[in-house]
Amino acid sequence: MAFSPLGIIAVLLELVRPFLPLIVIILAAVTVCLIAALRKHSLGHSKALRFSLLGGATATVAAVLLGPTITQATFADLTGILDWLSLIGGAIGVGVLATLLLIPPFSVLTPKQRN
Amino acid sequence: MSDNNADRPKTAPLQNQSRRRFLQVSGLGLAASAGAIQWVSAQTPNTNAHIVIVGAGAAGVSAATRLSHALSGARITLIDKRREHIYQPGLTLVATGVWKESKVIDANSRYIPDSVRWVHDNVVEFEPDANRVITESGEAINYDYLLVTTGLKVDYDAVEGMHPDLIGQHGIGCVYDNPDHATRTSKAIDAFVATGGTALFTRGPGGIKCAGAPLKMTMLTEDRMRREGRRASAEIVYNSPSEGLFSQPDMDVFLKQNFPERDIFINWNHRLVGIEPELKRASFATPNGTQRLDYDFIHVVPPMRAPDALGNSPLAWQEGPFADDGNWMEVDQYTMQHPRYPNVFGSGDCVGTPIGKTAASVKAQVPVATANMVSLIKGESMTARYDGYTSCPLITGLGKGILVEFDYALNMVPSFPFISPYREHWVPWVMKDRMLLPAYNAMLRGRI
Repeated sequence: MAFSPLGIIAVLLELVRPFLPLIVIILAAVTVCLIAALRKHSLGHSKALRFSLLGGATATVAAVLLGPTITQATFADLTGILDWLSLIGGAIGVGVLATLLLIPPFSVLTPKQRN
Repeated sequence: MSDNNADRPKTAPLQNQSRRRFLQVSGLGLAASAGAIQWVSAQTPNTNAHIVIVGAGAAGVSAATRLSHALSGARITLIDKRREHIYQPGLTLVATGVWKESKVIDANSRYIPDSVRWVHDNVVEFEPDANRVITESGEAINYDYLLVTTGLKVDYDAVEGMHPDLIGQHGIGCVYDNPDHATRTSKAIDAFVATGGTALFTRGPGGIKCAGAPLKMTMLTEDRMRREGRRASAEIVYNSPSEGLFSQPDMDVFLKQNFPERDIFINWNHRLVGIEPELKRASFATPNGTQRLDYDFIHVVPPMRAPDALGNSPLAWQEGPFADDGNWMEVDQYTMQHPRYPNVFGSGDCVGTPIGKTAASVKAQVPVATANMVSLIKGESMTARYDGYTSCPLITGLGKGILVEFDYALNMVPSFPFISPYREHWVPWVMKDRMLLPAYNAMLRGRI
């Protein structure tokens, strides 16, 4: 049975629907930080990027390590390349998302280095 | 109540107006779409037809949504007393302690469009010759077009001594029907895991909903005992009413190898016919006569049939295997249209088709039934076809499963070619545990 792109979006919408309030709060906080960082001309300065990348990498590793547990499975249940690629691919996605979300707050919270 | 009568033409007049209509997907709170996403639907015909849908389960609700999107001006009436909506594919996970009961309970009101008139009543009589249904409260509701989505009846009475009140007592479990049964079954399994002994798993003969559920209950219980170091304390026996375990041949072969490897003993041609709860003894009809087996836990799967109001109506198959099996509703297995009453369609568990009493079947059947009904209303030929698609995420243990999808020809038809339908994987488990409920809800909203 084929799933259209709109169908996949509809399923993803239903997946996140229970968390919409939390997602809205997080996005609002990130947006506030983004605006503040833009006003300070400090968005994405090197230290903020380093911290964000570190946070993203941590999230990736955590997602790999915790992925099976979160789904009540164990690493023994990952029986083929499909499972490992899905776990690693999903974890990378989590890491990229975490990095992008962390850049604005770190741009505000960490001091910009002077050259 | 509709003002039509039996003499009126079965195809309601169409006003040849059409307009573009915007379907709205609301609330996608992601960055790219803080507001709503809208897309343009196909042209929607305008009609004054009265469509009655009987049953607000998965098929009825998604059909109501689809028809309300697809038609302009139609009066759509949905008849069902149930206000709760049960996500039945999740009941196996509740019954085996993986999910909480609350996860499968929803409200129909969240999904039924405002434009649909919801009659909180049950249909007790179908009168297709008069284009009319009669409800429990005595109301006669006429229709131009009827979609029957009543679901089915679990026939506990067919197992002598069995009653749904017994579920959760005397080591009796039954995953079917509602979350309460599933929760009580979970408690019975908890007790069995603690004490060990003999567990009998059964399967009702003929067409049953989610025919993979009896197998999943067996495998998840076995897996749990193994994980908890209690496997040696239990003898697990699966009683098949036939000489097969699964209708799809590749899966049948897999399971016939897998069960013995897990020390799950199989009794072939064992149909549960009676139960003695106080003695914890079950009776099976076998080719060699009645056999009685003692148990410490038994998973009872009674036969299933169409609800009495439907099964005793002219809409049911009048003869043949689908009449003998469960008085199922007669439909053309490809168009979902009733062959003797062209303005009547059926979908879901209540229809007599070779396979397909699953939520996945509903997802495939409802677009066909509704599209063909719309074509009929428009006076066009019906081109939508149901190919028998059904799906079973066959959970073989906690954390792994096989995504089995097949059609009338029993050929595997994987939606995702990169997921093997022949091997256990973690990914199908994640889909079952995390993705299928959102997909189901999207189906109820008519979006997939």
